[in-house]
Amino acid sequence: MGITRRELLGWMAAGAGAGTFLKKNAWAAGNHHFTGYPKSAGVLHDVTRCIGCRKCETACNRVNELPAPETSFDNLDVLKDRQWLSDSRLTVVNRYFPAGTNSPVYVKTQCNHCLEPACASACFVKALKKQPTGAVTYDESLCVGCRYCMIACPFEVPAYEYHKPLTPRVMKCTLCQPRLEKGQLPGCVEACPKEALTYGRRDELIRIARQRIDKYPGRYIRHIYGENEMGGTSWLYLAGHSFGALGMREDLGVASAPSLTAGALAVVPMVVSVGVVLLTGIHAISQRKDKVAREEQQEAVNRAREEAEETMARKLADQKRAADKEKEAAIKREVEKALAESARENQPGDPAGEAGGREG
Amino acid sequence: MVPLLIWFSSWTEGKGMLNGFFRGRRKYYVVAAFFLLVPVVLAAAVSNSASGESRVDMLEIELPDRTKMPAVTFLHDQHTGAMPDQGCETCHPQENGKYVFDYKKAGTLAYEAATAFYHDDCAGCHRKMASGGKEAGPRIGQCRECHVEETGFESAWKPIEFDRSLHFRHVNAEAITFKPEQYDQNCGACHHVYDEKLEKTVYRKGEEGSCRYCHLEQKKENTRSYREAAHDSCVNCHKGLSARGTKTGPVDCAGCHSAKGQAKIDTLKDVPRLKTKQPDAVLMAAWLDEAEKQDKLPDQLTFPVAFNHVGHEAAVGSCRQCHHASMDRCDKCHTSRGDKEGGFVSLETAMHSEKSAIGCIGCHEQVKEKADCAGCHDQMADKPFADRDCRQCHAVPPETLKPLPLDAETRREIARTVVAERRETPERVPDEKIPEKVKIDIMVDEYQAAEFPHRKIVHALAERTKENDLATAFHQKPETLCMGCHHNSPASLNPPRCASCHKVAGPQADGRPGLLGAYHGQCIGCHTKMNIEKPAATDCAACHKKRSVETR
Repeated sequence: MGITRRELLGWMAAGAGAGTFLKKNAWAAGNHHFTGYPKSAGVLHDVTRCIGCRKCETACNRVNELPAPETSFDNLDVLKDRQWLSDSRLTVVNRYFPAGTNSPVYVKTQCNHCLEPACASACFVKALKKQPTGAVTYDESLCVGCRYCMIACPFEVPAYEYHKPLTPRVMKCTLCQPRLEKGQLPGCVEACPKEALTYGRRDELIRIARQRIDKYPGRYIRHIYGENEMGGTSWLYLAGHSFGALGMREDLGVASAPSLTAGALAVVPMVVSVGVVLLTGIHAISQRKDKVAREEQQEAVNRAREEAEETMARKLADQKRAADKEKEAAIKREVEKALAESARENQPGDPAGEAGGREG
Repeated sequence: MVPLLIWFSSWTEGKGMLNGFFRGRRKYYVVAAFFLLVPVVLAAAVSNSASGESRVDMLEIELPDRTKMPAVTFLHDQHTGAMPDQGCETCHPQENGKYVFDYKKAGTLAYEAATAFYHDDCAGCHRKMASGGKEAGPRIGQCRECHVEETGFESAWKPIEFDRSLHFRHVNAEAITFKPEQYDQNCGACHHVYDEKLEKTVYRKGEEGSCRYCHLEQKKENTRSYREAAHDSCVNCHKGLSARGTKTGPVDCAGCHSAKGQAKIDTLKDVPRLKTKQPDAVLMAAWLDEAEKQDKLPDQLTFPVAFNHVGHEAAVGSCRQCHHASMDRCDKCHTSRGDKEGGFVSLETAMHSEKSAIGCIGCHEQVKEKADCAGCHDQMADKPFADRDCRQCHAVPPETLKPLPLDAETRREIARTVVAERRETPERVPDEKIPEKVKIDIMVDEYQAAEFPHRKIVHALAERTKENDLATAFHQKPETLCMGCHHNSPASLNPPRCASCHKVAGPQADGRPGLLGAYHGQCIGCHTKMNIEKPAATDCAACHKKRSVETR
């Protein structure tokens, strides 16, 4: 892998740049307070008006064409037990006896259509979406049935059609989106005889709720549940007793669910884009470093060998010269010796002058 | 927990520690033991705390230093009940023939001496009882049996109000006398004031007031707390009388301070008026004294209020309802500026505060929360103070206040005259002017038209309010009662119909419910507040029958 430092830095910058484009949406939820789409609608539930007649449940069942209930909605004895949302009951009424009062209090529960829904945030296929109208809608054609939305919802609202193995749906209140499009009120709002449910623009409902509290301060707790809980919900509640005594969670805080996870999620693209490049670069650098080290080592070895060979060659040459010289000297000595011998031989009686023939 | 233990055992084994203590099957035995033990331990811990029994006789022995051990809660009735044959003198010394309700005067001891005393005395008595074969309390050494942080008892102690009924019964009691040769009433038997010169309490006729004017919640320099003074006075007297065999009040905690004990106390319905020099009517005009000094009415004045004192006497539990700190005029302490003696509460706030039951408006608001009134009044929105009609009370025309100065008797006479002009019994709208039944058919859909029993309901409202003097005083016109339902429009015998303002289409932006919500809200709301059980809110057919599908 041949990558220079300059190339590495360039890749990292590119990755970071790409990451910023990916990061933008998550940060929008992270450090920006979303107060709802303008003109988004909601419903104000005045708990002090509810008499537990369950007409809202009847209407919801009819409007959404849900299966008939086990016990008729006219049966009010069921209220002695806690009622739970289910795949065939998109809204339920519960009865409570808060401390310090002998008369019962009734509360209607359903999807709260949060301004920043946890379910929509958890859904990775965008089956649950927050609409500008205020409703959190569910598209069954996109749903994969992972049920992350059920885990994510702080109000434990979405229910699942477990009994349908092939085409199960997540079931929750839809704010009667089809009826709203026709200009009708949601089924439950229309059915309530006590006007415990008021449909309208969310900001109007907050104004109405505050007005009611001011006009009847002895009747209400001075708090609109849902105004800020979990970043704000489209379904707002007024009550005369503490909401904790009415089965509603008071420990949720005002941070929306997406904002709680936005920080961690925002880092993911950064980690993926920059991190990959970074780690690749580090890998490349260390590989390169090793390779270079190996090459240098190889080179050193080669050089050493060369030097050794050279030295050896020189030595050999010197030795050879020395040897040659010696040989020559030896030859010379031998020749001289031979000449001297022959001269000595020739002196006394050299017959034919052959010693002279050997000169040279 | 299980994986942790298993990991731990593997780890110790790997390290060769303890010869791998949790090895083999042993680790499972440990886990099983753990799961068996924990619930047992938890149950024991839980059972040791609150049993939740409610008592009224819990007395905390208060010593200045509570850092060493938690304060001991002494159960008085339990002890008196356990030794019925022994009298109060067992624990309470007597002085001048009366018991001192301080345990053997231990309150006078210093901390060290007091602790030693309590330890010796309490544990000593317990030891004596135990040696006599009886069930007894903790001995010395069983420290934490007495010194507990949480006793587990719930206090059901209720304060007892010495109301007009109880007061009258004491005034009327033959057994209570005070210098009969000098006074024709026995006020001095209980009432006294502190004389600075004589440095003791004496009885002064005409200066009787509530004990709580001087004896406050907390003990002051030389004034005992209300609790001490009341027990000393009341219980001692009851004790003395019961010793003589006379029927008298309770002597144990539960007799006065438990709900059951209080229910047993006879309450007179019509208490005769107290015979002191209180006025029948009072002319309330804070500026009048100053005006008299200057001998002319001020240019800007609030019309005085003619206050029906005798009428209010019958309406309150005791004089303290209004005369909460002294029997003086309200403006003696509550100046118009709001000075320290009045607790920085100005006169205007004192009279008009909607929150305090001591003031006029606050008390009236409380009365309107009663079931007989709340049906209409609960549905009425809070009126800002500026929108109230001041002339309902401030009605004395200044012309009647001439010539100045006015002495006390003249002022009362003026007030009495104005009060007398008010009606004493409510005037009712004649039946022929009230529709008998009203057919409400404007929104017929799932249900048939409702036959509204209009006259019957008006009669019921009139019946339920006719005895109430406050209602009579404020429902000046007979049509005022109609405004309970025919609201937000002037009183009239021909008021607008509900549908005039409440639209069938639905609620309006100003908070006005739609017609459906208006009918159900007004009717059901009234029934709920007036504790009318039939028809039930969810019994739709009781008010309008269902329409069969064919006729729809």
